[in-house]
Amino acid sequence: MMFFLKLIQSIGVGALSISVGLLFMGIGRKITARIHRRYGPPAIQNFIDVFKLFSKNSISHGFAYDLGIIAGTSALLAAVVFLPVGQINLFPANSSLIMILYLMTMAYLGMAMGVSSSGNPNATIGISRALTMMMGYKVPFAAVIFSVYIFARTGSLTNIIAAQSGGLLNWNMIRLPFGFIAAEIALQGMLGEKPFDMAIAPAEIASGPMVEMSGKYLGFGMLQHAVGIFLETGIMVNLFMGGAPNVWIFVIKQFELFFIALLVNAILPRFRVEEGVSFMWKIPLLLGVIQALIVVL
Amino acid sequence: MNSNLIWLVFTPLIGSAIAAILYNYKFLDRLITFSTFAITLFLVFGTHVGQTYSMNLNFMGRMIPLSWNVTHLSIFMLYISIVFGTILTFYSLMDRSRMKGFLLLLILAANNWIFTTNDMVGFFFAWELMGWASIVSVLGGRKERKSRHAALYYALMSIGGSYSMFFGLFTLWRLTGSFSISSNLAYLSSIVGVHPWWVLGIVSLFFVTFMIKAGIFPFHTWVPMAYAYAPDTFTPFLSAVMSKYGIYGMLLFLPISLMEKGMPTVFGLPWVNYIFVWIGVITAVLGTVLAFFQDDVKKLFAYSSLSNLGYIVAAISLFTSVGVTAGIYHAFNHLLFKGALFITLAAVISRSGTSKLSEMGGLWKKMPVTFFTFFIGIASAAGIPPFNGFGSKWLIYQSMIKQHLLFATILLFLASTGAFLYLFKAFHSIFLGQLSHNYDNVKEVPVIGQIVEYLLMFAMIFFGIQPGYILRPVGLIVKSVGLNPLAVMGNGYVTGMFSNVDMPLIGWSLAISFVFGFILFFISAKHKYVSQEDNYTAGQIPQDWGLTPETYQFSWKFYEPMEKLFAPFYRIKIDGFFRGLGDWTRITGSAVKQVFVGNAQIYTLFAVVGLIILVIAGWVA
Repeated sequence: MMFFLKLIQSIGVGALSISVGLLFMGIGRKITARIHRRYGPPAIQNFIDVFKLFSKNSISHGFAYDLGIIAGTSALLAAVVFLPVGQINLFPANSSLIMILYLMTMAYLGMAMGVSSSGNPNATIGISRALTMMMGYKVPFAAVIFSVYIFARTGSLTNIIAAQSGGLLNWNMIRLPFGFIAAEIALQGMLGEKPFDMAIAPAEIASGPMVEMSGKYLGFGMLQHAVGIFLETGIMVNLFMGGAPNVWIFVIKQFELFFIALLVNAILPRFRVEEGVSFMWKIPLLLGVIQALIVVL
Repeated sequence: MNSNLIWLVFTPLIGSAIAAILYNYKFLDRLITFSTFAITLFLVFGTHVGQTYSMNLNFMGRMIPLSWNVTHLSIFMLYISIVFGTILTFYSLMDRSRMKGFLLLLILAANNWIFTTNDMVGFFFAWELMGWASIVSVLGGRKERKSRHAALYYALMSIGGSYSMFFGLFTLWRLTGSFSISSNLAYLSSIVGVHPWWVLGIVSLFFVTFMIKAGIFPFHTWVPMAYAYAPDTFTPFLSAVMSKYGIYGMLLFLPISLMEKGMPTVFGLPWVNYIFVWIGVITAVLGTVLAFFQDDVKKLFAYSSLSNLGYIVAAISLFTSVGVTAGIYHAFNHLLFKGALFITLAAVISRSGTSKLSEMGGLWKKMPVTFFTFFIGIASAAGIPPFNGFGSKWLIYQSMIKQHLLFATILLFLASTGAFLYLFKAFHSIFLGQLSHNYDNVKEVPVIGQIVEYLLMFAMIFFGIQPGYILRPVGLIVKSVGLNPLAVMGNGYVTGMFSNVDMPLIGWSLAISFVFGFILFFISAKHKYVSQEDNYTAGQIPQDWGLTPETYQFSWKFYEPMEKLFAPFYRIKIDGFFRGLGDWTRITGSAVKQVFVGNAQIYTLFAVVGLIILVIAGWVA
């Protein structure tokens, strides 16, 4: 009985993450359009796109391609149920931050396997760029995780939220300001927004990993991106903004973070890969290390 | 019935003799190797913790005491090494590489002796036996000249290690008059408060040997060569089992640091341990960074082994309960996934005939079972839950964070993320991308190989979601070295310091979300399969410009931006030091050679001078 209850709730969280992510993507398109002085598509355009994509015929390159692309979405959905979302915290004893981060890696591995098995070199170049960039932003993020672990004396997101209860001044955002800025910049890289979007650079490598995707495969890709946005901003909200009392406030807090990322995305050009990585290893890492030293000493 | 400890050593020796006689019949050689491994496994079933045995060996009129003592650590190491060896030798039944079964059995004898002995003579002798058997095994790789060079390099490093251990051993013997390991360790622990520098000197003599065998920085230079040019079926054993001998030795000596009072501490650690943590971290990062740019797949995974050994050393050097648990647990996990990876590499190399990443590609269609084993192997190696590499990596981070080792933690994260990069590079270049027409006739490995691959896949998933089966024995080891073991809540849990991870729950979560993914995949609109040539190329036809699958495959300069980033570090060459030492030895050698010119008069002069010195010495005495 318990099992089925949790199962239903997990499906609910999964559906929530997909819809919030798609909505964010749609609003993002709208906002970017307005910054560019365009009218832009409606905010629910991405829902329409996903339905359309899943109903179109498509081409595939074999079972490794199918499996990889399914794994990309599924592994992120498997990770999102461990994330405390407002008052919904399905597995409070099992929300280790490092575990969630490593489970997300499964999705990247699946996606990378799928698109590379198509045999299109553009896709592989995109993946190689994405992985290089991942090495860039994971390092400052590690410094931030270190600070939070030492500061909160716990590694579980549930307890990290509990440690921040009692108002705005207890939020890690205020208490660990340098760490927050470092994590913000790392988040920009995680979301793959400009100036760190070399992986999908459309003009250089024909959209990179997405080059061979069509129909439902592209649909899966969009779902993965949606869940990815939800998960990454959700981790940031839990780490630095004290979680949320309910789902609505949680989503609003997520949107604030996503909004900042959008504005940066709309106005900045793209880094080269090595420039992006060395930027990540200079300014955010420095901030993260300063924060960690403050916490330790 | 304690004499079965001796049979642990003698059975492989007898098997080895039989296998050596039948050496020309390759299949019989392999079959005897496999059955001896299986018999030894049954002998291990009869071995219990706390068994002891001792005997005196009469060697030229002098009694040499030999003794055996089974501890929790030794029984754990015996099980994991012999079970893996059995699987590997079963695989090698169908394999065509030039691995020699009788040499593997000699290593097995040494393996059992090292893990159970309690006297330093036996330890040294077994160590030498293991060293030489493995050196000869490295000969006979696919590339004759290179493997000869690698074996020579490995031999030189091993000899250096042996001398170091020999000095340490006899210094201890002079001090205590005993060869027993346990009483010598007790002696060292008792004097460490009084003469810390003496103890440090003696222990570091042993540690040099262990670091050479485990391939820890700065003695890592032999590892990539020996791993890459050894016979393909021997490399799994070299990486999975033999690198752990060094870790075993380190674990024997590390408890001394607990007694070490009065030495300066850094972050609550004795400074020697602190240095060792950094040596581990440097090894981990170095292995990762060098692995990015390898084109030989076995070399790439050799550097990966180096990196993982760095993790283990960093963790056990902390010598806290989490650190030691994580280190031994990672040693097991590394044995499993790296063994599986090297076995799949042996399968791929035997089928494709090359070990160059730039010459392979697209093999997943031809070798699906190998492909899935490799996939689960790299998922484990990258530390993805619920596969088996995750728990230990997670515990290692916690142990580092607990000690407030900021930079070390960040660098280990870097190494772990980097691991994902080189693993994917290998994965892509072997299995994904364009399939060359040279491999149109490649087939999956024979049934025996497939059985082994299924078994390894199962093991990687099973020990991933049921870590309790490993964490319980590891807890006993941790208790036996005098630390508090971590609580084991159940078979499915990894209990950390900051939180717990419920591995079956992650497994369920993944399984259910995959089911949903597949349902969505199959209810949505149809797809059709197209060939690998049917690609988006911006409207152009690649065949028109003479593009073949080999040239269309992206595998050269895979991480070029990384090469630019790390370019300044390439100028530093650790190898240079050893080469310099080699040159220096050669120059000294030729200077000494000048004396021995073959002139009888000079020899007479030597004799006379020697005689005079002898007479004077006798007179003075």
